[in-house]
Amino acid sequence: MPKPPFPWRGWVAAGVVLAILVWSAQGTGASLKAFAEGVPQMLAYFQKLSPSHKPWPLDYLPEIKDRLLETVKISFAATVIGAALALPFVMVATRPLAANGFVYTLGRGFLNLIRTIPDLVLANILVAGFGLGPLPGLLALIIFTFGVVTKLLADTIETVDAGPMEAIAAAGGTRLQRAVFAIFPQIAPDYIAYSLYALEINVRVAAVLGLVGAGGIGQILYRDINFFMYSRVGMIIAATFVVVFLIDSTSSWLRSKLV
Amino acid sequence: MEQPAILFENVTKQFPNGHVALKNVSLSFKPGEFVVVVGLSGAGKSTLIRCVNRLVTPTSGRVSVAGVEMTGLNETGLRAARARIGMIFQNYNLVRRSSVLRNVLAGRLAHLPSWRTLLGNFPLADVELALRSLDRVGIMEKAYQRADTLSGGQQQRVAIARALAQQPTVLLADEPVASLDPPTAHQVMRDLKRLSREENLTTLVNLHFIDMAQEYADRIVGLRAGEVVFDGPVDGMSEGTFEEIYNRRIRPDDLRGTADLHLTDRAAGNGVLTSTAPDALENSTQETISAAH
Repeated sequence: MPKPPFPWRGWVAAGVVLAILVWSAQGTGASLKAFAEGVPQMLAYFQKLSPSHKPWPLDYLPEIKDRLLETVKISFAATVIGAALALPFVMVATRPLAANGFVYTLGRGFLNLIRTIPDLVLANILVAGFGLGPLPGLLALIIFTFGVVTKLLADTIETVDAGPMEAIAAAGGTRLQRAVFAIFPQIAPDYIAYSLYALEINVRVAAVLGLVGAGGIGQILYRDINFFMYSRVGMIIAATFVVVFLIDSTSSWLRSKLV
Repeated sequence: MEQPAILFENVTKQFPNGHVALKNVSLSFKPGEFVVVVGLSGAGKSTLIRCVNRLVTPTSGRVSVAGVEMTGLNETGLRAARARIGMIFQNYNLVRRSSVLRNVLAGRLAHLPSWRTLLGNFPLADVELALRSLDRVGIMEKAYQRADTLSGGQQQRVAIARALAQQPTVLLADEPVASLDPPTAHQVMRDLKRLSREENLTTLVNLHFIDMAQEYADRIVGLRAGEVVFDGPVDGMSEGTFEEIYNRRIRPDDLRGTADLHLTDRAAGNGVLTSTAPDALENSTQETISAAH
């Protein structure tokens, strides 16, 4: 009977992961002791936020509603605009559709550059340019959505059945016609799924965009935290949780229907 | 002398990996000829056919279609030339999620201004032409179904309708029946032959099956390792000729089988093809082949 070879690859991989874990734990000062001490403090904080500690000020609800609505509007608008921009740009960011290798490399490079900038940094820069308010938040999320949807879409297009494209090319179709007739119908469900996925992330990010003054629920959350208004903070967190949960679960349900 | 519909002059194709798919091929095809190209897989059949519409660009030599030198065309000229060259593929190459009609309308793309087609706003005359093309292959009633709801044979007929909608002068078919069961394969070949006759279409068909080649071709071109080793009318051909082209004995899988043909005719006459038919047909095919040896 032949012996199975020693699975050295698996052991090497496990060793590397363990080494990284130890190294990063040292860097962050994380330990089980710090965790054990932190949990009660966190629970105490939650206690202060809850309405049992001090009744929630219900007259604060209208402002929460307005700001949450602003957050939701920012994320919806950003998703629609960003996803719409992705469709034409994918023409230069994918090998079968780009005019040549140079255009493709340039397109991909631009895409990677956009995606390396963290959302909050982007929002911060935009606030510096456009001032406080929802506009810089909206722009930041448009750029983020555009980056994510274009990247995912480009990757999908490179795996799509090339047969129809060949047929359209053989019939004398242009590059644009190849995209619209052979590629886009094939990726339509993926496109919608990626846009919904971007929406789910956008709603969460939009909720904290206010931290850098870019509008939405985050703005009053940040203010109330700074003024130690625990009851208000509790209310904001609860309301945000409900809204994010509703949008998130509806969106993932829709996505599950698509695939 | 009449101008050739398709002319190959000393065409050689070497791929970037060094493989030489065509070696100094010279061929001339008359308008309306129905030519079957045979050869083992890898003999260069596909490359030969793709050089006609320049899906493959030859390394050297010239290919002309109706006097237009394909090898010298720029992007725009190439698209205009391709507009009149229909092509059918082994895997149909339909957009599976689009409607049958939209797939057929793809044959009109090079005949119309780009912006109109991109908005999906096809002139009524083109839609009518697409529907007539579907009618000519007998599946007009499927026009508004999604392409992937059709059977393999029906999908290949949609692909034929797409080529017809181009109003072509030349029809290329790259292994059009390789993915189909024997009765459907014969139906598709009969469709191709009939349309070629009716439209005076110069037709090049790649086939692996020698019995089908003999049954439908006016003329047979045999390729071996990128070289033309046979070119002549189908009448003079014997099994020995094919063994020379293939450079080996003929095997059962080189035949599609003919016994199923009259069965198909009978089934078609009744207007039904039951789902049990293919199995029964396949058995009878095998019997025919073993009986032939």
